[in-house]
Amino acid sequence: MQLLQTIFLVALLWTLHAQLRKPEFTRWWAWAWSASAAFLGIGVLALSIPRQWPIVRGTTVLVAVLFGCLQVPLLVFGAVSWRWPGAITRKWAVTGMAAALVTGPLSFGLSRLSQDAVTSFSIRHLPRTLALASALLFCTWVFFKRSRETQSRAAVITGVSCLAYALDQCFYAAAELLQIVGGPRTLLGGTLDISVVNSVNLISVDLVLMSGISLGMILLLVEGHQQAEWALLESVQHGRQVARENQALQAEIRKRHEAEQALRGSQETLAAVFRSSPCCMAITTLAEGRFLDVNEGFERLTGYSREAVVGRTAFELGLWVNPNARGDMLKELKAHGRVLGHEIQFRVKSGDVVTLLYSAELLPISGEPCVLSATQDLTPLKEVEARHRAILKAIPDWTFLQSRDGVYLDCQVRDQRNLLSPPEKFLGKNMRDVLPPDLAARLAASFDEALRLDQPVTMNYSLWIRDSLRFYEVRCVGTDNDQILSLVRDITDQKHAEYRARDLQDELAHAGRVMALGTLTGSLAHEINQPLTAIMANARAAERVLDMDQPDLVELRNALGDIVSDNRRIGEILRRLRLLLKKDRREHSPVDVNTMVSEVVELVHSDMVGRRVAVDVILAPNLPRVLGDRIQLQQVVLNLLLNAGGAVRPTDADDRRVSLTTSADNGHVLVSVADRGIGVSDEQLERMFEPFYTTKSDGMGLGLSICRTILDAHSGTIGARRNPDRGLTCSFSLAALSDAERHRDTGARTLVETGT
Amino acid sequence: MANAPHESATPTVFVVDDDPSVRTALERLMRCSGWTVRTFASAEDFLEQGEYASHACLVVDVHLGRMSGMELQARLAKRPSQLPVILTSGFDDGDAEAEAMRLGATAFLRKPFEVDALLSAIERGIARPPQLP
Repeated sequence: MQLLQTIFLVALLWTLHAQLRKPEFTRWWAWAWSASAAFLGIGVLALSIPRQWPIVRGTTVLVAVLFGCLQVPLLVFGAVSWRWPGAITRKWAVTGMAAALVTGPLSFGLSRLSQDAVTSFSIRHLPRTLALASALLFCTWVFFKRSRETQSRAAVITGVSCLAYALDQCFYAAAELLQIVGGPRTLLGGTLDISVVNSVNLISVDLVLMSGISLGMILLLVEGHQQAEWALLESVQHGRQVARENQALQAEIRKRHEAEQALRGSQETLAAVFRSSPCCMAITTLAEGRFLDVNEGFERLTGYSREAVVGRTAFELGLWVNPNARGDMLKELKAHGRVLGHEIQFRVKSGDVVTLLYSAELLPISGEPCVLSATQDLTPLKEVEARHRAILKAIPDWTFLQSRDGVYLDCQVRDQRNLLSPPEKFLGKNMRDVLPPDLAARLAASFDEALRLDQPVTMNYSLWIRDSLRFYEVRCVGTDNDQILSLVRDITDQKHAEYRARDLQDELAHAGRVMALGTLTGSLAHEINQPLTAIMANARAAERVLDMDQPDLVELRNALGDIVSDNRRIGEILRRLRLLLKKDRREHSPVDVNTMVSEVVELVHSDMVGRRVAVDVILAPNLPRVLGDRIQLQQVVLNLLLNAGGAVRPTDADDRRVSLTTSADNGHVLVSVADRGIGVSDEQLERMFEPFYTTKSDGMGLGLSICRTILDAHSGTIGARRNPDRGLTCSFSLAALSDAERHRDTGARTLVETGT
Repeated sequence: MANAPHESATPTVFVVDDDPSVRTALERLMRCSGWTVRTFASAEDFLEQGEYASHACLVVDVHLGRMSGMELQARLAKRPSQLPVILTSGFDDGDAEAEAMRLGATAFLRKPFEVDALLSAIERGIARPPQLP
């Protein structure tokens, strides 16, 4: 019976082993119970072998005992590897098995010492029983420990079964021991006779124990399955959850990716907008104005490349023409957060100054306050403005529409005041009836030409309007239907300016000529004196010849001939003198020195510009007038200015200045012209004002001597002195007009006259 | 004209003036007055070519091309043998006259001068013994 159960258990274990995918512990136990089954089976077999074959029987018993002993370590190994998988190493396994294999034959050998069959049986089985009991107790401990840990019912049941089995074996062991030592056979009220114990136990107790262990094994299997199932379920659930989480994560990643893409897209768009905007745009730090980025428009406008600019400040580059403007901009920016449409000026790389319309906004970038600025180049606008202004200036004052033969059809008038007559008086009338005849005739001729050439014809004329002579420029244009459109501009002011300039020049030229001749005590006299001397000498020589005993007639003739030619020479000089003196000599009149001087400065302006010399004019206010010839005095000033202009050092930039000063001092008016030029030698200083004294290769040396003569005629003085640092100052002084004289009317002739 | 100084019976008058007609006329006058005359257009020419012995005289105009008559007089004053100098001038220059007389000019005549004045000045000059300081 026990054998059958044992075989059943073995089969169960081997099935379990296979089902649970061959865990270690089930293998050990399978082997253990296999060994037990073998022990029992071979034991039974041994009993059935007749006593007549003692060796066969003995060998069979030995084999049985061996198997029985083997059961112990296998059992232990199983329990250990159930609780601590992998703990049984080969070394342990071999050791255990070896111990068992030693114990078996040993106990068998020992049993041979006893003659009594029962005692030898007991001796034979005692070691095994004890060992088995211990092993089972150990198993029990393992199972109970585990059951406490994992609440495993299978473990509990198996543990209990093992315990019971262990106790059973203890019982056996006790009985065997008693048999061996021969002690009392009763324990706890029951007989411990081994033979009795044997037979009784064979059926009932082993059954229970085996069943318990079988159940435990089954439950283990079930538990194992359940656990596997749960594990599987859990893992499936976990897997599902992981999958769900994964999906969620994937979705999140996708969303984030999309957001990133969108952001990048918008960033790229913004960057593209910034970069390619036609406006000049820049991002600078608020604090220092350091450039963080600039766009193509900026590069184009300023001429600086992006690499050259980023990291530097606008001040380093010298962009702001007026650095204070940036300060004002910043103030407004901080107050309002933005600045709109300020007109500023930048100096670009080439050095040109451009006018810009500047707008900016505060923009925090990575926490730092920055300024995003956009500027628009106003230079083309300004040019257009200038052009418009020029066009406006050219707009005619009056526009007349006339028929081909001169009838006024329409007019457009800006200012009626300077019209010859009001529109209602001339519209519908012919110009021949309205305008002076010669003007009308000239206009008619222009009309014809305009229509004939099909091109504008320009003409100038003048008219007396309310007692003043006014000058006009008219442009006549033929229209499609044989009419004339006349665009008239009043150019009186221009003409006056022209005349004044021309007048002044003419006068000065004349004065120059006059004064060149005016010094009759000067060079002209000298020119006449020479031939006069020659005539005298020749005449006296001729007398001497005649006094000779034998006059040399050839000599005489030569002398007379020379006299005649010298006379002619004098006559020539006088003729020139007469020519030059044709214009009336002027009378002295009150002269405002400041105005007089300013006019000369205006005259030499272009000359000075050409020489790249600056003229500083310092006029004393409320300068008293002087009595004199305005033209002659202007001649003096002109001469001094031109000399000073010519004296500047050729290379010195700072000293290319000439200063003209007027001042009053103690009843005199002083005019000085100073240069910072090459200076003069002592001899030059002394002889400057002498006629014919010149240091210039092309000069006649008359200028300063003429000036001296003019000043002499004005009872004034002229002189020169060296400047303390460098250059020369020439100055002249005239007596100022006293109050009484100032108001005297001396019939002065003013320069500006609107004569044709 | 020989460069070597020579004792000549007729005294020599040197005329230096940049005006050609004056030169011609004065030369004629000197000849007709019985003096040897040599004319020069500039003071430099005279200094180069003019060698003189005693009984010579110089008539020089103040206003010459480069070196003036005054300067020539000053130069000649430094020489050991003193040549009498008569200065003429087409200008009314009082300072020049004073300076010329200070340096020992025989006469300072303003053009157009009286010919007699010139002739008498020349006679005085020629008659003056040489080596006068």
